[in-house]
Amino acid sequence: MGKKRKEFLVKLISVLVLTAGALVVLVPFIWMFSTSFKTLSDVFQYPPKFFGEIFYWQNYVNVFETIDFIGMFKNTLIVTVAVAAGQLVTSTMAGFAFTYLNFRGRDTIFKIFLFAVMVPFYVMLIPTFSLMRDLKLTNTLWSLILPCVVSPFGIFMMRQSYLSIPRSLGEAAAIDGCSPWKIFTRIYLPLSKPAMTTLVIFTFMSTWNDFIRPLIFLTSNKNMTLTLGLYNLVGSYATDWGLLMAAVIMSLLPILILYLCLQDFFVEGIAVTGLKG
Amino acid sequence: MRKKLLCTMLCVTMLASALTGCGSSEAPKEDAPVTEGGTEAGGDASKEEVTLTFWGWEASKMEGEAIQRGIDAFEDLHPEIHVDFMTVPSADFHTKLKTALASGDGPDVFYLDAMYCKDFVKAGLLMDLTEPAAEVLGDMTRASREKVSIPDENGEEHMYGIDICNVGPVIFYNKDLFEAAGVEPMPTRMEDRWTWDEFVENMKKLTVTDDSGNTVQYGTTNWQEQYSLYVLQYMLELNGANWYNEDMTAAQNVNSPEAREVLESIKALREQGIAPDPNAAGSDTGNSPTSMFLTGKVATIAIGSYALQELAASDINLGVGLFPTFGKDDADAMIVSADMKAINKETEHPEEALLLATYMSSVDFGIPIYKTGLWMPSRTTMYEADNLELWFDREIYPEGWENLLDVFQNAKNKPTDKLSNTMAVNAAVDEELQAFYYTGQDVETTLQNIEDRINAVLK
Amino acid sequence: MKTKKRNKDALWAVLFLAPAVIGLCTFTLYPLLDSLFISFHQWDLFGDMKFIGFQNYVDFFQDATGRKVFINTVVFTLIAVPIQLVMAFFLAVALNQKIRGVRFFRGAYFMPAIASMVSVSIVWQWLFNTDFGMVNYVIELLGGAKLNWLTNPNLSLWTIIIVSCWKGLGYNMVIFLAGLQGIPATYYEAAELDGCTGLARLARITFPLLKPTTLYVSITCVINSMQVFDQVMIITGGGPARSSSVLVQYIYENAFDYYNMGYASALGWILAIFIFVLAAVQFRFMGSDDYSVE
Repeated sequence: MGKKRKEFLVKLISVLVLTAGALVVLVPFIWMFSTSFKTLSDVFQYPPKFFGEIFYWQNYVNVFETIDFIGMFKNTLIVTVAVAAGQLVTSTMAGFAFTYLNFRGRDTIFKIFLFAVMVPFYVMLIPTFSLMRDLKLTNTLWSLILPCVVSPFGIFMMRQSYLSIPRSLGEAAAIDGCSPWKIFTRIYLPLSKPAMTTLVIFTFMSTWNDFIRPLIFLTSNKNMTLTLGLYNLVGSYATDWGLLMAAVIMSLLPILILYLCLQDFFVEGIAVTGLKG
Repeated sequence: MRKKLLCTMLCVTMLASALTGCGSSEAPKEDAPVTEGGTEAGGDASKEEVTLTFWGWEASKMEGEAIQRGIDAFEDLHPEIHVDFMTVPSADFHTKLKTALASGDGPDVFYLDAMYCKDFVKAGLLMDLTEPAAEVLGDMTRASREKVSIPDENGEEHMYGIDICNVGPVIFYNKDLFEAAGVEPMPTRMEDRWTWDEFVENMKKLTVTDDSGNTVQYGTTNWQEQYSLYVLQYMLELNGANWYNEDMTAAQNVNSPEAREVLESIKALREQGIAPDPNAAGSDTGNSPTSMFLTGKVATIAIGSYALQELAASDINLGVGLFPTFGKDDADAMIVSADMKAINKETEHPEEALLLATYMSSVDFGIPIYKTGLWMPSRTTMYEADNLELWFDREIYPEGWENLLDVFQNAKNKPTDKLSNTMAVNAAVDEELQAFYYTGQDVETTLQNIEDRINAVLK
Repeated sequence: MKTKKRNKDALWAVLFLAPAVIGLCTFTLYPLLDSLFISFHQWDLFGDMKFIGFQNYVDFFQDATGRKVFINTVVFTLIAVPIQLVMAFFLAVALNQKIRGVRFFRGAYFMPAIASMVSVSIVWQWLFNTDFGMVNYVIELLGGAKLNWLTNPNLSLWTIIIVSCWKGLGYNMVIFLAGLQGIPATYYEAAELDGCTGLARLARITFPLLKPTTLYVSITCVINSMQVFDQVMIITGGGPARSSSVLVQYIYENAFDYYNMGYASALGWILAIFIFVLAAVQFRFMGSDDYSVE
């Protein structure tokens, strides 16, 4: 009885603390949302109010008039999908090689990839820029896609998840005459769906939100991505908070929806990928 | 060797990614003009369609719209030329521009702030426009003429831009708030100007606090503007402080009593609570001074005259005034600056680019924009009494602006407009200024550091 | 027979690894070495390179601004990483219970991780506004005085830290949560039979078993924190007077504002080396058994 009671108390306190914490965490989003319906004079109020005098949905219309939101959205989507697809292919293939195949130098190569996880992008900033310049790829979406198609982190993650697949499965298939390619596509890929989902979500998050690459590579409106578009909007229309927030909300929605749809696979995916160790 | 290796590697990668299906199905489009080539062939080429890219910045949405209207008019005149206008935020403009030019993605025609002209010329990015500029030079104001000229090593002047506009510092004020506080209108004649102390007294009257001690209305704002803009440089001129040697190759005498007075006067505004804290010292966003002014949270704003376009379009009862005087001989202190139109040295369409740049420097292009208040003309003829009615719209320009016309026409360039390595100079000065405004670094150290750091950068 | 299989495997390995290895060489290893090469030169991206030996590295030690941004970056990392680790851990423990609305809570705490740093930085900048911001309003409600979050040099870096922790919390929480879910319930049941509950349970079972997770989270957290950039660019711009300026921002400025490509590359290498050292230290102190190659 006493134990049950104690457990109940712990849970009650947890819920209270969690609720308070969630509120704090969500305030910026609530503010973002409410401000997107405010006029400028309602933004400049003290004490701050969550809702303005009038419900000014015009901000959303203005976003479309001010920036090429659709175009930016499309560019961002192309880059994100291409990078996610690319990483999925390269990571699963390399991950398979590092777990299932036996070849000389395997561990050394894997160590090099592990090391590459730690290489900060900013040390490669200038060479990557001059590389893209030499290849005449600056100001194309390729400049955002190509450098990201191989992710050492993704390879590491897929390898961790493949380690949990018993080797005997593949060896049995090999005896039946399956080539490694078939073993890869028929056994390893289907068994690693949660891990792949997790990889896709991580890639989506980092690519959709990438800032530095668009900042240095893109120069024309035509190729603009959402984060860069938002950043430029801040620079040009710092006065118009309602407009800014409407644009922020709109750029946030796709990735939020993706996450909500895949949320259930997500934690499971991390659990099986072995990121936890 | 290096490049060869790279190309091979990349080809293989691309091939691999194509084979494995990881390239996007929809190939990203190259940023190429609609039609290429054919421009060298002279007359015949004019029939072929050409797309020019043009970059400008905008201080507000309206600025971009005004420029776009001018471009539309140009396209009507030259149906074979299409102009792709892109705005880049002014804070990043020159970083992006230089990067784009360096990587071969640069626009054909672009705005260039005079202060970076030397550096761009040194990097070999600008087309020499000495000849075409000479044709339109006749009635340029002094400042405009000096702005676009850079001497080469033989001392011969070359021009790298064509200019159309001037912008100078003024103080805008909210007439309703002045009336409510019983403060008389700001003077617009040089001889009537307030002294700095009078200005501060009046700003105190315009600062309002509520019962709980919160300031609900500030007297003035934007005095701690970045060094590269107008306010500080003008204040230094007004008090007779000059930071550079004759040929702008070194800083000298920065730590003068006059400069100290200017810096301390500016800092005192915020310390006395009559100017608000800027939202962030290093970035341009936040409660940007104009939005505070537009929402009636502040009574005056010291800013470049370009702000008039945005302020005049609001429902604020707008007034204008001159900066206060420190009592020095400052008849010649007014500074102006603004963009100039420059052409990419590597442009594929030099003739069309020149057409566009020249058109953008013509009065046809300028007049509709002068009318909005965004720019003041940079041609002396525009200031002649007969021509005033072409652009001097009294609905837009607040009462008393007519007294400022002479001041603008005879103004000189901002000192920074003749600097080299300007971006690094500006960054160093701003850093020291922020240390003075916010961290309590004393004024002597600040000015001494500024001198040392400018000299380090200029070396 | 065995060697034959190995040879065959090697052929397949070439196929499976080709895309990854080509990508790694072109976009990581080559740029890494090229950057080292550039760091020994003076180069403005337009003209020719001039070899100057270690001068760029020597310059760093004489560059007051460079030192300042480096110290800021280290301070940021040393404060932000532990805060995130501790908070994420306890949050994960709390969310690993069977409580009502747990899905909502997980979603809510993960929200900041989904949004781009650029967009949330814009919002936070306003929330930290001295005169109109929500943060100061709450402080006033609680009886405090308004703070100049963005213009007080003693606070500006803290502002960046707060935003970064808020943003990073959800991601780290999810990783910890996955780790917790990997601990078999039987361990806890056994512990309970031994009369081991509450904090003792946390200390004897959860902590040791989560060591690999903690190592992973802390290493990624350090790598990311050393590269903090977006939020600094947008919220404070590094100001006032570089009080919140960080190394990566300085690299960016040197590269694309001042065109000191050599110096920027040297700074990049200093950053990289520092990250490698920190990672090695963490491996050493937290053990690396779980990530060994075999």
